[in-house]
Amino acid sequence: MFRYTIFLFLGLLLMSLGNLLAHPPLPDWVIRGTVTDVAGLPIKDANVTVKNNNLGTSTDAEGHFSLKVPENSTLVISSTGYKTLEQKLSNAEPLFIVLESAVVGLDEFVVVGYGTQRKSDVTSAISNVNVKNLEKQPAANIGTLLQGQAPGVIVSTGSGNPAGNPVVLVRGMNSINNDRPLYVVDGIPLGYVNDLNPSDIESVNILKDASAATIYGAQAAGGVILITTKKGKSGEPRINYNSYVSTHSLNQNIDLLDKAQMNQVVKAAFANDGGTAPPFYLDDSKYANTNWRDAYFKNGVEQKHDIDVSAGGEKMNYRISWGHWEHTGTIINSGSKRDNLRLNSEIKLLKNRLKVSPILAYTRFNNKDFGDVLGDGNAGFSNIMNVYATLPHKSIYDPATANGYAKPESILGSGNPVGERNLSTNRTIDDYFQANLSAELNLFAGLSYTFSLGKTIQNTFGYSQTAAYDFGPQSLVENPSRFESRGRSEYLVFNHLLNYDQKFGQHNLKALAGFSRQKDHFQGTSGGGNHLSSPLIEALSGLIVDGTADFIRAGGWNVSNTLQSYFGRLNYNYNDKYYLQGSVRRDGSSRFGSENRYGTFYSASAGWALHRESFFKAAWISELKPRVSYGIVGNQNISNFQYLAKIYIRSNDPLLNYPFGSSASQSVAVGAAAIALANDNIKWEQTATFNAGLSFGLLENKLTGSFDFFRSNTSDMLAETPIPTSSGITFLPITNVADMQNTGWELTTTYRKSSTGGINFDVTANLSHSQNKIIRLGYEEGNIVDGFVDFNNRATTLTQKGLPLASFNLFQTAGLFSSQAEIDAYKNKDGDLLQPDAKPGDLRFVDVNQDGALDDSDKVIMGNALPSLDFGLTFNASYKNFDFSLFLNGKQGQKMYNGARMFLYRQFRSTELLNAWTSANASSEVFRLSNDDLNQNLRVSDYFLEDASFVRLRNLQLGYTFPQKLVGKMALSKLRVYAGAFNLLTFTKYQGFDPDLSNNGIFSRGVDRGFYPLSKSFIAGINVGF
Amino acid sequence: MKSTHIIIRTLLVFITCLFACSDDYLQLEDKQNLTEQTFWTTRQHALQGITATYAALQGHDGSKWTFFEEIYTSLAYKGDDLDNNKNEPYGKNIASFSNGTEDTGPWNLWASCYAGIGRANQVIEKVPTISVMPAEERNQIVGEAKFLRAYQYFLLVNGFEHVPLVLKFEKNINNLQVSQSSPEEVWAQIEKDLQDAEQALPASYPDEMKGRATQGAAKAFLGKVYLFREKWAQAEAKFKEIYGQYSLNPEFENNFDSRLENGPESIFEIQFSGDRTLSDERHPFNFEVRPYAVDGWELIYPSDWLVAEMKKDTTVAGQFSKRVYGSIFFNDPQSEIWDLNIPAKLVKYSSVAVDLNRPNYFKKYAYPYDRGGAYTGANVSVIRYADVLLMLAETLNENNKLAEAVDRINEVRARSGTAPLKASALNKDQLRDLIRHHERPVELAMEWCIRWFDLVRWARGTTGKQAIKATLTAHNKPFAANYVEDKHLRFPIPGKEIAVNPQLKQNTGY
Repeated sequence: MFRYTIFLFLGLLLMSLGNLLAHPPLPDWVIRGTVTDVAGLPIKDANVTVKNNNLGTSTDAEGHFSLKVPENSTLVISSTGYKTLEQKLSNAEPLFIVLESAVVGLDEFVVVGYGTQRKSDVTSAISNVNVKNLEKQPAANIGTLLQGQAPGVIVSTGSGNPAGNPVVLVRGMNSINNDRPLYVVDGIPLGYVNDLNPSDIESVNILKDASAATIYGAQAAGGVILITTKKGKSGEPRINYNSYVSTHSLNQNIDLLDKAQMNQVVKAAFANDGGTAPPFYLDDSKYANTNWRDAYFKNGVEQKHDIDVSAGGEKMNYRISWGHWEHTGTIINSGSKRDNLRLNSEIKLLKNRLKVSPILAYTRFNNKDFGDVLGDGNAGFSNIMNVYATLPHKSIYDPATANGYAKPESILGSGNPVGERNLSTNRTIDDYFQANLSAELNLFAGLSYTFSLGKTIQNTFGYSQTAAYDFGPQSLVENPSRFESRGRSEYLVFNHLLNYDQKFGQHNLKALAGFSRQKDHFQGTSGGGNHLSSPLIEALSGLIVDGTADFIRAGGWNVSNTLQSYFGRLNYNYNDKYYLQGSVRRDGSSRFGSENRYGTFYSASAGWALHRESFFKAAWISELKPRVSYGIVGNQNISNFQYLAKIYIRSNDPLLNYPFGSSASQSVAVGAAAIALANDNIKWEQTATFNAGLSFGLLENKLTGSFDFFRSNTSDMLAETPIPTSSGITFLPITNVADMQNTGWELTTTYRKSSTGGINFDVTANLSHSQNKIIRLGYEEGNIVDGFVDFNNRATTLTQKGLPLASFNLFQTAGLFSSQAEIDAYKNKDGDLLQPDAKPGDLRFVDVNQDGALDDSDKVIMGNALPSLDFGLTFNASYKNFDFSLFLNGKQGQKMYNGARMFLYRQFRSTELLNAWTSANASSEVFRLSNDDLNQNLRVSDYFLEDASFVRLRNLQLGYTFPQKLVGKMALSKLRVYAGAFNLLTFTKYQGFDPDLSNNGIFSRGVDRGFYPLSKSFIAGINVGF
Repeated sequence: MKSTHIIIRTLLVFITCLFACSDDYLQLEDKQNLTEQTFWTTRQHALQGITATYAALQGHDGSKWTFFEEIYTSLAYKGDDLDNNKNEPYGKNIASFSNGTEDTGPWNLWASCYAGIGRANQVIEKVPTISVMPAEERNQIVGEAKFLRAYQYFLLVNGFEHVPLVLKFEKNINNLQVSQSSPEEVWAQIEKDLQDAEQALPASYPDEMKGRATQGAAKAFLGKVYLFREKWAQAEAKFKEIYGQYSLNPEFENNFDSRLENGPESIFEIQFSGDRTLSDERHPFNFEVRPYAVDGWELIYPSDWLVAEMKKDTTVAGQFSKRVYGSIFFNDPQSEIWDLNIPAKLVKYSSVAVDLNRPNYFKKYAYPYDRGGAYTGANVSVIRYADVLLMLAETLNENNKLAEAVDRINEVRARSGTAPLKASALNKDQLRDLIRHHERPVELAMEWCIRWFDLVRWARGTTGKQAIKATLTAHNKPFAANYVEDKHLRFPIPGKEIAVNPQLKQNTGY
């Protein structure tokens, strides 16, 4: 079947070559013109087309155009935000065309699933991101760009790692499983967009409610982000070059003690316990006083260069772009590079009845890795914290050693983070190749057929090679080692769509029916060993085995999954006043057993263009459209074959292996057994969403906006389900374990002001709120404890029925004990001391349930890490040749557990400890120094829980566009320069690195283990048009 | 070609798709795993199954850190023979008798025991069905599984007391909630499994199979179970069945030297290995006992009481015995410890004394052999012959065979050069007290699963009953004041487990 389709299209292509070669009669007049607004400012990229013809061009940065047209044609000049003008030509004289500002927005098109819709026809919750604002924020990845730009899209920076990707949530947390949105790029659903160059993006639309997203059925539970890439514009080939350079300095706002201060603090801590500090703390004159942080971090330089060529004619248009981005990294021996190449084209055949759009895109990533400790469960402190904790007493360098780095004195413990980092190379080199082909054929009577095919191939390669080094027994690499891994992922999607669009009097009808299949197949290989015969060799063939301590190991993967879907959508409106939409999708997934393979998802929505009613008299209201929707989307994002009873066997995993034999180094036997259970009842997770919204425009749409309220109920959430370990099973099965509810609202509003010759500006504000609650979690008393801050110890979060996901569950403190009398008086009714091990200066913990004992039942729920309010404010202004933009974003009401602070207390590195409580410093709020910590001041408590609300000046930019006269002399069509700053100011009470560095673990969100700090950067850039 | 022709063909394609695309597209094969239907059919599968059952001895997740920093600490830190490093979070709440139900150590112990039981249950059910292998070998493998299942239940019933007795591998996800059995039922099952194992297991294995459970191991363990149940006569008889079948290592230190593991004194050991050819079976125990000054992590220290008791363990000439030098690193001209460098050197106490945090350290398992990198593959003893001799002595004393008991103790003392005891100088109570609070801790201090369970059985039993709080207080155990007798005797049933199994009842006090 599939092959047949391919042949059909090859045939169509061949047939139409004839049409391409047969030119239409040559036009007679060459028309030149300039398009400006009422203020006389040029309008760039305005479309100039010939009515009833396919000829056309668009204006350059100075508003100029030139076009050959048949005699006595009519030109149609249009541009977003302006009223379209028709100009009948009576001669070939140059034209001076002035476009009036339009009532903005109503006739814009938005991208919806498998098609587009007029903005005024939309009855569901769709956020349309203003790409013009994005262009002012040069950035390497799309997630970062979306921050604060669309209401209901919460983006957390995740990590300051330049190669990292931010955490994107659409409408907060909907599920305990997959809360990541689906990305659809040029109609092809993808799980990621990190390979995409932001400069290639034409539009971003976010489908937030079920009515919009249902058409993506089982993949849409986390919301859908639709991205289209830029296409060629009609006219002569034009070249654009955009570039920026920025400097990055890490926000190292946490101060560390130097050696003498640390000695002082540690001595006091041991003295408080009645002991003596380890000897190396006793003499300030001995040992180094190293600032490890300065040696480990550096200032980074980021640069990006984009060049594109685009052109278009009657039968074809194209855009070719190349982008190069690189970041030298803010940690030694790190950095990232990306190259993007993209060809988007469009060919019209069969007298324009067939439009074929091939897209080819290639991306190459080169990355010097830096791993961070993100996620749930038994996660340790990040590598950053290990650097922060390294004793200043240790030296970095020692010219006497072979590699030049110092081996610490035994007493100082193992490790030299700078040496370890520089002597180990971790690289990934990944290629992404994407080929899309879509063909749209107009059939008859409003019926059209679209076929699209997307093929994505990812080839990933990673290696690590470490030189032999010895920084003490725990930091010992006996021989040079090398590991490599390769992965190959092939992903194929094809869609068949049948569209119908017809008008019957006042009845407007649009219908879509579709069929889609997608298959993902991943195969991978890993291998490596711990003994290269020489450090000069950089290939696995150089591995040797010299004794039982050496190994050469291999691993591999081979997994695939498929999805087969039928879907349809019906849109109806009467007289552009009353709107109805219904969608349905039926998905079949290979991830489920044959019983539960299919799921059906549907939605319905309605809208009413109140402002078009004859009784509606308020002239100052230009648009008022209430709308309501309800629908169901699904989630199938689990690994394969959960329904099979698998036997586990892995030669390189110690899990089931065990040594036998008589020698000291016994040889290891491979074990196998069932360690997981099959769950053949597993089925879809479903989210039912109700949405009520209002779109509005006031004052001739100078002020526009929309408000949406939503409530979603996610049921049968697919998640790892804790089961009794008495079963012998410690691998948690995935089951349909839980239900939760998510409620919220979002508001976006834009005000635009333009004046003749004066200041033009627009302001956009986005506000959103969401709150979730667990309705069911396994058994009645079921709960999930996570958010560990100290390996498997010190859990901070609790998820259970009635609570928001990952709520902080901590002891409550009530200041410090100021005297022994206070401690002695803190007792239960039997006269037992509640804190018998406390001393003055220790934290007092509250016996919340008043049962006379301090235990886990005294922990209190203290909020969570999801903001109660997420907001963004964008301000753009221009005056003459200057333009200015500013972007603020912020989050209100989110909490963070500052585990990094706890860690730096425990390691005696925090400068706060200089102010620790003593009887002479009794007003201090920092508890007393103690190494033994018998009172367990470090236990999880509100002492380390902080308000992570913030307001950040994310972007500030000033640009200057050179006057056309000057630019023309340089043979350019456009020249703009700009300078600005990112993350210049952050207002927050949070004391960690950054209030927006979010853990990506669902149950550990807001648990700060000391992640890669965020950078502050200054940027300078240039936009050139040739 | 007419465009209507194209249109018709296009529509045909579309309609074909809608109706002809079958569900075969969704039917994929798992290319990475065998399933229960394809496994348990060959001799190799039986061996792989029993290997996996042994692997649970190292913990449920294959991580040696889980074993040594979660499970070992939970079982060892309550004992009076050691003191923990208070700056380390591992086992800290357990050691200070302030743990709630969320501490992960007891959960890891629980999960590891049941992981072993689950795998043993699979072997016991499935291996007898593998017709392609000899019946004798099948029986032996089932015997090993029963031995291992008994061992895991022994840890559970002593650690938690009230535990579910699971004897079948349940595959239905809806039937996993099992209620607790009485401790008597669990003990009875342990005895039965060990009696079955005793019949099925061979006296020894070929060299390449050393480490698997032998008949002697089953007998020694069964004797230990009788001892815990205060079945004195049966215990004496069972221990006597292996008395003389094993011998003490010539040197006390040989027991912790990985070059000599699975030696003459070894009855059953948890196997670890420095061989990294396949998976990593090394562990960090050698770091955990060592002082910072020789690159250790010093998680644990010998308690002051233990050191004082050690210092009473002298030769006829008044010198400290070899087991003192072999157990602790202390301020003595002859006291030495291996450092962790490559190659390792012996470090004298005096040369690092100024750099030490605490006066005394353990040095058992701190040997530089069978290393891969700085971690080692040293086995950890579960039951060794010296322990059997001391348990036999304890049994004999309770059976009023005091002289014979003293002879057994003196066998152990003689190996370390400790001056022999005189039977005539001691009465039954004195000898019992000596065994409990000198011979066993001095010989077996900090070893896997010894001291805390000893304290528990003496508190729980009826013969010479000793409340743990009294013992801890007498031995100056830090936080003894926090100890609540009927609470801290057991671990709590892990909160995580109760959260998913409402049939479980929490232990008293939690």
